[in-house]
Amino acid sequence: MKETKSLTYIYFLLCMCMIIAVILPTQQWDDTDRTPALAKKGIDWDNLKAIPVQKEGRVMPFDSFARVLLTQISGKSSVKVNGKKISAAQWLAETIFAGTTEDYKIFLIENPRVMEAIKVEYKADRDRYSYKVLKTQIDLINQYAAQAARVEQEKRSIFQNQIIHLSNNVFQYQSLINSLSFWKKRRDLAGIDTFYTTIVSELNAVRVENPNMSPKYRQIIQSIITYPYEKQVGVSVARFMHHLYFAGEIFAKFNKMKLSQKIMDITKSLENKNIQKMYSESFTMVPPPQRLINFLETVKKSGGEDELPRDMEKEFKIYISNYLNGKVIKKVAKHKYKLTQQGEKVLEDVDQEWKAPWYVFLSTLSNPDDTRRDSLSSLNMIHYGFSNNSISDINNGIKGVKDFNNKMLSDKTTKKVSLEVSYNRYDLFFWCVVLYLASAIFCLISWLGWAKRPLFFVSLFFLIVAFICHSWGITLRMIIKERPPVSTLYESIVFASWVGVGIAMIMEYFSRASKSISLFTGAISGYILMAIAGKYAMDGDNMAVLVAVLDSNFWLSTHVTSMVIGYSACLVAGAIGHIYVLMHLMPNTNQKQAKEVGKLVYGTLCFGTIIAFLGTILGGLWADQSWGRFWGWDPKENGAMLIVLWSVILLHARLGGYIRDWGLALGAVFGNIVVAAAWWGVNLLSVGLHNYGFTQGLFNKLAIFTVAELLFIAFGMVLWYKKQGGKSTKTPKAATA
Amino acid sequence: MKNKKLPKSIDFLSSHGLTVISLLFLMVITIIGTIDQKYIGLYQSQKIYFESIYFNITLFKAGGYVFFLPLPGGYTVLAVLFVNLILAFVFKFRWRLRTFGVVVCHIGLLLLLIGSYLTYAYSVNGHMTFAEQEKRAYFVSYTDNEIVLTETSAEGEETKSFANEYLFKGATLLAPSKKIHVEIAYFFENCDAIRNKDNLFSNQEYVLRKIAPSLETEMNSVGVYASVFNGKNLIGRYYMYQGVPVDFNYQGVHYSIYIQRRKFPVPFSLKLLKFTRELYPGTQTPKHYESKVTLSEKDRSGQNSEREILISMNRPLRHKGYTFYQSSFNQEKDQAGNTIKYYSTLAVMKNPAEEWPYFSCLLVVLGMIIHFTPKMFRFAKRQGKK
Repeated sequence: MKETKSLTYIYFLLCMCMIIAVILPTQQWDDTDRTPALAKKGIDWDNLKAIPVQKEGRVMPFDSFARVLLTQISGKSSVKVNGKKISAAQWLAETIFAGTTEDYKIFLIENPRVMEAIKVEYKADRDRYSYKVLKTQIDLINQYAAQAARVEQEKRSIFQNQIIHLSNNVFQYQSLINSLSFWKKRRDLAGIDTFYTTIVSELNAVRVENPNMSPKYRQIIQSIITYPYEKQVGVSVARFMHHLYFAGEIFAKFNKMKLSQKIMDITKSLENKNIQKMYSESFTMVPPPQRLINFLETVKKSGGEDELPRDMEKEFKIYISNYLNGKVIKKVAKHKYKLTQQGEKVLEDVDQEWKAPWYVFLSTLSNPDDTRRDSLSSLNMIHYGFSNNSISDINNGIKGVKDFNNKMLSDKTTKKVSLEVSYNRYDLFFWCVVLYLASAIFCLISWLGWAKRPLFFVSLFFLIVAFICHSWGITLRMIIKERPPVSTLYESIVFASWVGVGIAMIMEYFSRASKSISLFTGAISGYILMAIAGKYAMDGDNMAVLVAVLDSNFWLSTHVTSMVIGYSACLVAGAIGHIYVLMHLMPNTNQKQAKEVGKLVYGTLCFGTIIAFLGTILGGLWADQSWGRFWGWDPKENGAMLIVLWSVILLHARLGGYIRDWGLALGAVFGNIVVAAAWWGVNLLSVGLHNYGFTQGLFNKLAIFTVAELLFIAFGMVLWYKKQGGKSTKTPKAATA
Repeated sequence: MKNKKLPKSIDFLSSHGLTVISLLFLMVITIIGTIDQKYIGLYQSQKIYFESIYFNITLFKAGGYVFFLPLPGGYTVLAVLFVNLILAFVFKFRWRLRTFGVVVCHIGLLLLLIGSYLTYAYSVNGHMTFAEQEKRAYFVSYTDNEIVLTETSAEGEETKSFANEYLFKGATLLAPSKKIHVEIAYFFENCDAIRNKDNLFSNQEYVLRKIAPSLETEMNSVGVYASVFNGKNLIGRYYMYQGVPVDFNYQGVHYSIYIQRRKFPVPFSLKLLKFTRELYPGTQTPKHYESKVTLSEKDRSGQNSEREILISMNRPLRHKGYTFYQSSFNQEKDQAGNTIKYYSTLAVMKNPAEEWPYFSCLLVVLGMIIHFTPKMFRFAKRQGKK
């Protein structure tokens, strides 16, 4: 009888959770991947998102690149157009390839004074504006920004910071629009028209004078002549530059040095004047031949003496047959190769850095053999597709660019990029938030006494699923970044949340007497921390590269990780402390239960103390290794010490008999304030050596949190006093009194 | 299970209560000392709150009176904790197997306290900044100063240096030959040199002007205003700006006096061969710094030996009790903005108690693990039975 009943419950509950999962407030989390692409149906967005590009010192998929840019400009990773959401990748593609995003409202202005200063229409204190609107005010924006930039960074006001940020964003956007501007229709170029007529007539003369010229040149001349200057105005910058370049080459070939020189001069001045305005380097997406470089370097290192590694043999075949025709490497013995002189030169000359299309365009003008032209032609195809509404061209172009980049890059890089695409797509941490909340809610309902067992299991199920998502998300990040789990503030929150849930699950397993209290603690702290992390995820590239001093996987994995575990354990202790207090409000709580929960607080606190102490010392050792002193009273160090001090105080006070379960529980709640202060609070000071974790604008939130916790402690004290006065079994002294 | 025979004072001094109270004070000091770093800088905050016997906190000002609260400084609190711990060891600790972990842990803490005292009392630190191809056999303190007095006469040259403890108003520095002495009339914590238009206070071309000290003490330029006497005869009054010597002749002896950041000699020399800095592609974020240096020293047989060493972030050079860390760098640029010369800065530390924290912390953690692990298992076991 009971089984069937519980099955019905489970079914009913599953339905309910689905509803909850849908209703949940999701604004702060980006859900662009769950909205279908709008305008251009049929575009292969998945392929586009997976194109490797370079930004902020690392290779990332186009998708991440777009998110980083868009969140930097608009504070969100999606754009709302006519009430519908567009993903960052789509926005970026439209911006770069079609230039149709000028009226999307993306520029976030968070200060009414900025709006007033740059004379845009005021609607709300925090609003987004389109480029179309800001375009007319650019001079004003830049003027204010230049003024603000003269002030030292620490002394800038909110207004000054905002205006600089805005000006940078507008510049960034302009340079994005210009990424492929060499294919834009050319505007009239004053002073060249008469000369261009000369070029055409002279070319004609050359053709007549040299009837035996090669068909290649004949063809070029033909194509230039059929575009007289008037028609040239409608032609793209790229084609115009090509024409100029080839005309120059032909004049040089047929001994018309003066003309050739003049064309060169004109090209130079064009580059200096007109092109500089259109030149853009913000979209670095043409990779260096990394695979080739790696290969040649391995060969060079072996110097014909070592045997090449087996997997290199495979690479070797690819390059010899397809790419380099055996000119750069010679065989010395079986499996042994050496670079030829030409090979050394290739290694020296090859561009080792990522380049923007503009750079590639200019440098391939004179070098038709450069393989990077393939990438340009694929980009052109996308560009053409967007302007002519041809989906198949867009898709072919996307595929071309992706294949080209994957061919250039090493397998390791492309694998990491594709992992990152799936990391972005599944958005595991978002689901963690949803599931943790669901788990906490079900656990709460189960306490009401109705359908206790099944509700408990549903709650447990959600918690486990969430924990798996959470673990998988962290693992993916570790693989992509090749780092231990924590190296940024954002990651510290994600990891602390994971540890908290882990601790809670272990406690739930061992301490069954406390009846799902640990489970609830885990779920709720998981939810709260992940929701906070969600805010931080929006802070630009959350997988950004590390500054030199942090570049030590050993210390990152020991000191930072144990520190975060320590934070987490103390927070969990604090959370159980809350529950300890609140459970005394429930009518059906007995002393035995309360004692069990009190033990949980104590146990977690002990664990937290050990780990926080260990983390603090390891930090000291790292500091000793890299800064030369074990302890320097740096704010972050002090913060870590405060946590240890506070837990040690609690433990000794308990040992000395000054406090008991109530005191420990309330002390653990106060510990939350200490942790928050050590974790985020010290960053507010903006001093010290640990200044890679700084954030701004936290003060209010921290103050509210502190006040709330203090009120809670006061409330707990009142409750304790009342309970003690009622049926006091707390202390022997009270019992005798 | 308290020992009732103990006198009350010893009972209190070795009690948990005192531990809790002093730890609470330590917490308060740490919080105040951390927050105040924003306003007075790390160095000052260390001096006032952590390396002090007591300090005063201004509560409010009313009617010309300042109401303040005196609080114990870091020294007092740590000393009390030390005494508390030792007495607890003697009178309170129960030496049983069960408490083995606790004892180990607290021995570690004791060592940590002693070690930090040794570090405070006997360690010196500073920096060694040099350009490529330059050689150094000394390092310079970040905060300590010294006045160097050189006498050159027919008999030869003699130099004497006067360190921090002489640098206050009214201090007297006696020259090696005892013919002259220098009296310090004013010590500038931070100053700049301006042109001396009216030969007001001295005959020098410049005078010093006091400016507000920077929060980062190492950024300050120190100076002194001093009078030089022969017995009771005034020879002259001089401004001395950091690193700029004052020269004069008196009775056939040439004197040269200057104030500078204190220099500590090192029993070997380092020569910077090459400084390398790597950036992440397309950014200004540094990825890696390193300095390639040649270490040369005389070995036991008196022969010069040289070897090349790479010092980089997180990989210091340890030699003869000195440790050199890659700390920062500087670059000299030409007009086109190309770097023509790199300067590398190595932080230098000489600390006789360098290894103490390693061992003591190991003991503390071991102790805690020994103590808490069985407890945890017992807890889990008991829960499992239910």
